[in-house]
Amino acid sequence: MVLMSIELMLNAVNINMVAFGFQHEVVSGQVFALFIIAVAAAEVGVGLAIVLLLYRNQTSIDVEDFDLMKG
Amino acid sequence: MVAQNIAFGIISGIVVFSALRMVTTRNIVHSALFLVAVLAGLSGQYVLLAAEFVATTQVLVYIGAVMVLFLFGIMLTKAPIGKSMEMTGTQWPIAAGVALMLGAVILYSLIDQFGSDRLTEGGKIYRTADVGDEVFSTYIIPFEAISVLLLAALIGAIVLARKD
Repeated sequence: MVLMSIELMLNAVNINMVAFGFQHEVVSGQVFALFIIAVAAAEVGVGLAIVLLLYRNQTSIDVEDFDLMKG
Repeated sequence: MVAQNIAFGIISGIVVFSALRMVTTRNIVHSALFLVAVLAGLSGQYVLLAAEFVATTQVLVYIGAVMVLFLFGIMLTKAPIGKSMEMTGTQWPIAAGVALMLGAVILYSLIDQFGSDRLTEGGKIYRTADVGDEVFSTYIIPFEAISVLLLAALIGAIVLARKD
């Protein structure tokens, strides 16, 4: 759920990039949007690997159940 | 211009509604599907902004790979199918209030500063060839860096997820 919200925020930045690139008539907006898409895809890959590891230890992916360090 | 404005309005309405439903629904599979709707709507917006390469990449990479990864992750971690995900934050009214205040401050400063600017009619349209030229001439170093980043992410994900 947290990972999906991160994807939403990155897409918001992306649409900003492309819209302002369109307005100022430079192509850098689209280029940077492509880089952001690539970085987000890599981050989701590693993030889901971490989620799977957490699930193997705890059999739950709810953020509330990971409170081993809670004082 | 009127057809583009109508299409923009319809797609924006769908995207905003899907984004709001994505964070308020209690069913995690519905949340992932609302995110697919948001991504597809944004791809349509990119086409309206004459960025067809970004639109195709968004469909291929985000909807085709990232969302499939998410749905497989939901399946493999046996997330509860159906309405059983509690909204675990008990102070969400305060958080919503803070977010609304932040939104109001940003909107006010934007409208105050840029309210009298008018949009350009979009003179120069950049095709995919121009985007490719720019990536391989001006932005070649970030391009190589992203290749190394993808390699690191690939190796890292495999090392993290293997059984040993």
